[in-house]
Amino acid sequence: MGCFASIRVGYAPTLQLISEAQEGRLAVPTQSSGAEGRDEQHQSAALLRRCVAGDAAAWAEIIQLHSRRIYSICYRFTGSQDDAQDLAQEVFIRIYRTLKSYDGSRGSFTTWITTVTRNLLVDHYRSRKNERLTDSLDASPSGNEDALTLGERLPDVSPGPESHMRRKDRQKMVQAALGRLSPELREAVILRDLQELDYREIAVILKVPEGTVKSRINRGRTELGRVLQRTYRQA
Amino acid sequence: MNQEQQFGMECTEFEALLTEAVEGALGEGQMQRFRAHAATCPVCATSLAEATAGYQQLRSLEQVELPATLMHNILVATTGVEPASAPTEVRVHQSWMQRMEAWLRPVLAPVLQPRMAGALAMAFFSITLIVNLLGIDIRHPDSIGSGITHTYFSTKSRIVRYYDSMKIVYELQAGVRELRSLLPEESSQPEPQPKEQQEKKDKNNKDISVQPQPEERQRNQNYAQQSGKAQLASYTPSQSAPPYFIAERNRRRTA
Repeated sequence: MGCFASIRVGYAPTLQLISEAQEGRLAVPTQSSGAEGRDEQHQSAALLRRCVAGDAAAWAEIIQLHSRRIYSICYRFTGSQDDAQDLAQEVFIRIYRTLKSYDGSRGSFTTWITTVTRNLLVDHYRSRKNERLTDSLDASPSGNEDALTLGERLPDVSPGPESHMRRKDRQKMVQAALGRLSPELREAVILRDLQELDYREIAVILKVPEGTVKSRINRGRTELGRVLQRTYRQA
Repeated sequence: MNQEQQFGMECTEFEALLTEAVEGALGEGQMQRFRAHAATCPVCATSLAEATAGYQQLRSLEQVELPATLMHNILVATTGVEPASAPTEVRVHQSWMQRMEAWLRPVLAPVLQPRMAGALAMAFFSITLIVNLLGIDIRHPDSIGSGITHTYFSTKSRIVRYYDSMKIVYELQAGVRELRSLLPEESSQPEPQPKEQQEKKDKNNKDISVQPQPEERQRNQNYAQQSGKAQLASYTPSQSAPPYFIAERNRRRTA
């Protein structure tokens, strides 16, 4: 992912951020539509042909190639290991049942399996709508204005020399903040910043125009940064 | 003014380019204009800062650890077949011990249970004891027959020697008895004499002096008791006959 300098947003000049981005300190997501993506596509197509022909080893290889990515998407979206396992399993069950109906002309296998994953995540989110936490981070639990808000009660993690525990805390905090985003913004930033899919592919998966994809990514990043900045400032 | 006209950017355009700018994917010219607008517009500058911070935090997330059982569960859920272990693992050469263990395990399964451990331990110790008593050396299996034979004959010889020794002892005892029988037997019948004497005295002398006769009888009885006790106390297997021989001898004499 590259090495990022510890930037204290709000203290460093904005131009410094732009210069750092130009110097390449901010990692550029790799485009999956390059040569590497084409090779992966060819490999997946060959494996799929063998799967349809009844080759069990080819199916196991497909699982091995994609299980980590699918599980990662499910985990980052749901925030739960158990839900992520169940959903990932369900994704592959659906793929296995509809292998013969897959048409390579409509898109790559990666796009297809990610679309199935995304649809399952949306269904899962809707089915658990009532259990979802809807309180914003700025709302106090008891309604008392003087009470600590949810954002204020986040774990105290201050930037500085990171020990193992602080890194783990930071990971949990970012995951928690990601879980606070709306599903539309959450899936957009996950597919772009974590899965490194290109805008065109994300647009096909989300069934929205590329402009909408970029807008959602911007809003997702902005909201996430705002929440985490507030947390650091209060620490 | 001229610079703004040349490089001017509206906030809408700034927002459209924000995604690529944060990722560092803009060209040199566009970056200049982008930078210039951020320097003049505080709202856009704040958006840029927050978007960059959020992007950095997301990129700092570590790779998710895959559960160890996920692939297995997926295979079972899709194909319904338990994934077989790698053929190479099954075909690893097994030693004769491993093959024997694999063959014996199903046979001994009913026996190899915790509740059978005590019984097996007792059986083991019993067998060990028997083997030790029989003189079998399991380190040399070919000598088991000769070992058993040797043990048999050595035990037999010991028994024979024991009984031979006993025979000699009994013969000696018999000889001693004979010698004793030839000796005068003063203390052989202490009890009948005082009684016989007393009867004679009673018959001959009707004047019974109570005091001396009972005393004499008592004294004789005491002597008899003392002699009996002395006889019993001085008895040793090597010097005199055992009590059952005395009883046998008395029985013969009385008969």
